[in-house]
Amino acid sequence: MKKIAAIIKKDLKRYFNDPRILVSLFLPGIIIFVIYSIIGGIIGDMTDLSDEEYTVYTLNLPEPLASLFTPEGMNVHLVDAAERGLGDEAVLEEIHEGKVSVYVKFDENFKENLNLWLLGQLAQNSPTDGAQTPTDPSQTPADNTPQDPADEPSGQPTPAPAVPQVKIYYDSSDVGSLALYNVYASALDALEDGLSNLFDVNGGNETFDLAEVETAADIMSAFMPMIMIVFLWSGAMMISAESIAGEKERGTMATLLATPIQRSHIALAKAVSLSVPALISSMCSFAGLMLSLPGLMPGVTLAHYGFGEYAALFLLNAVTTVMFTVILTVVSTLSRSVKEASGYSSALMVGIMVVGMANSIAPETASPAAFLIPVFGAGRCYSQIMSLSFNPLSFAITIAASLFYIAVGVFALSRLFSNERVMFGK
Amino acid sequence: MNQAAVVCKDLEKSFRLSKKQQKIEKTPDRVKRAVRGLSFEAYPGEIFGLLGSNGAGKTTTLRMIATLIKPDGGSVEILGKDAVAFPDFARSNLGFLTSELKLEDYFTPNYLYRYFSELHGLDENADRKRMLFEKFGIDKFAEVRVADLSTGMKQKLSLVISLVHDPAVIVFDEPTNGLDVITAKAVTDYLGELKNEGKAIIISTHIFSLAEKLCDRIGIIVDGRMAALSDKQTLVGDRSLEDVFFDIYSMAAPAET
Ligand SMILES: Nc1ncnc2c1ncn2[C@@H]1O[C@H](COP(=O)(O)OP(=O)(O)OP(=O)(O)O)[C@@H](O)[C@H]1O
Ligand SMILES: [Mg+2]
Repeated sequence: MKKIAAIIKKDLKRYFNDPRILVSLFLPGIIIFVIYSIIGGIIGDMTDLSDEEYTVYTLNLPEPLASLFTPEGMNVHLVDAAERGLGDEAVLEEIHEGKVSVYVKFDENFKENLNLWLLGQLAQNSPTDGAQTPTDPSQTPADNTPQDPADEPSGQPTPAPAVPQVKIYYDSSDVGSLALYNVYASALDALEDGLSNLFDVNGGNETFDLAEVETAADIMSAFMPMIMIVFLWSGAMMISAESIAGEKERGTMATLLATPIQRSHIALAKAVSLSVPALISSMCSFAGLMLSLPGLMPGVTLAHYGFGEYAALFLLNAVTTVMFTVILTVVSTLSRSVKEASGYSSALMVGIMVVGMANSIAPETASPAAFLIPVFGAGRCYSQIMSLSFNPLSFAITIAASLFYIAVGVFALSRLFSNERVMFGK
Repeated sequence: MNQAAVVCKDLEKSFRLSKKQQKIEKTPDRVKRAVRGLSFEAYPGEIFGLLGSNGAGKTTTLRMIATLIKPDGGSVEILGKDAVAFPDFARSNLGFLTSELKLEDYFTPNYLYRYFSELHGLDENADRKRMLFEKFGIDKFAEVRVADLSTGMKQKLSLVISLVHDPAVIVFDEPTNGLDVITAKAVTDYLGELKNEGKAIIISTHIFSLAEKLCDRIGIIVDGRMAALSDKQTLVGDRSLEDVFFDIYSMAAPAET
């Protein structure tokens, strides 16, 4: 253990005293921020949200929640669709035409159902499994709005009674509509979190985005995971790609191998010491990305995401970065020279980009097994978290798979370090 | 005679040659047999010299002793323990110096001395460090990064670093290569001291004068085989080592490859 610590300490001392490495650590984050801020600036310039007046139709809006739907800085008119005598079809048509920005539709008796639901939960004394209580008589009437079959609960286990639903229809090709949607979704999401997920926001498979064209923001958010992944890869590449190949080339690896330290310990030490700068770089990229989000996606602020989302993104970043570091270190170890190592890693980056692309093209409902695919799983998790549709199962699969790949990589490294043809081959 | 510190028995080592290497070596063979059935022993309190021309297999043999590469056949024992089965024991008791083992440019002698002490599981021995640094004139450069040291100073530092753990067995590949006469003398003098301390020392060289002056026993390697092996007096007699070497070389060299 002491020897492992000695190697890590020595490596870190070198990395953090090398101005070239220090610059390369922070550069990706700065680049990501600058690029996205410029793009965001262009999108933002096209419309000034504070000038216009927006009409939002609501249905069954519980009075205490009204304030959530009139955000500061935007001039929003709340109109009760029922008072106007408008049916769903008519409202959606108006959104299409751009006369109305958003339609927020609560279940009939949303408030009462929620109250009864909560009481039921308290009685059951198991707040999160409430959906499984078939004896609760209050659940059935919640769903008898015959003109809208989409009210059927679809994201829940089958025999469960309806979960109180909120539906937000919007048009992402309209900046104002998208902005309001983002504001509402995050406000309700925060509220929902506080209530142990006792109602659903835009649950089920219905389409709530009525946009017919893709907007710049759409495209950006679709590609954001891939861009993030590419930045993590290049952050890890800065040091890891040349690491072992460089040590072999310079003859310092042989010196280390001549000392009485187990090869598996060297592998572990290298994985750790190379991960530290890569992690710093990835956190900078992540910060750059998050800081540029508000400019990029209308209505999104840093408060759009809660602690849970940030924690998940942080963990995903960290695990993905370490995985990339280990992969790159293996590649570096297999390479005979620094030149060869950087060639291979750049080639691999193309592969990473392809898998990242596949993520934005692949169907929305990927099977859980797909999350075992390295880069793909991470990319999909990024999309899910950033669109506030965190899926614990796919997240857990992605993290577990990454940890497994890291372990395999470190094991491979220790085997390679004991392989004289790899270490001393000419 | 006392117990051998290093026992090499029937050592074999072949390298697979790449196309490029085949061209360089001008051979159609896919495999280079670098060491072919080499046996010798080294005892505490003596300097054993491996003498051979370029490509004879000296470095390959020493790397097997130092456990950097594994023999294809035969065995190496360090202080009675098999080096392949107990590599960490071998590395703990052996100091290996060869021009391919380099120190990181970024660090200072002081730092590296402490670092390699730690890798050997030892606390830094300040007295030993001071003694070694003074002996080789590193003390004045103790805080200068390796990158800024002269070639000779780097080599002396490598030597010192290879001995941080005060090993019982010392294996030096061409220890005076690239050193000026004064530095070379400091190194050979120190090897004499180590011998008197009772260390078992193996050096390789193609410099006859060095072997003649320094070694107690000499093995002459030709093409991976031990062409002659005995104590210096018996081997040389009243002739020069150079003449003896050429006789042996011309007898052994025409053998099949
Ligand atoms: N890793 C390797 N791959 C292929 N061939 C090798 C390898 N290492 C050594 N050889 C070959 O084995 C032979 C013996 O090499 P070695 O380095 O042991 O010779 P040497 O006696 O130390 O020579 P020198 O005096 O030039 O240092 C040479 O022909 C060399 O080309
Ligand atoms: Mg040699």
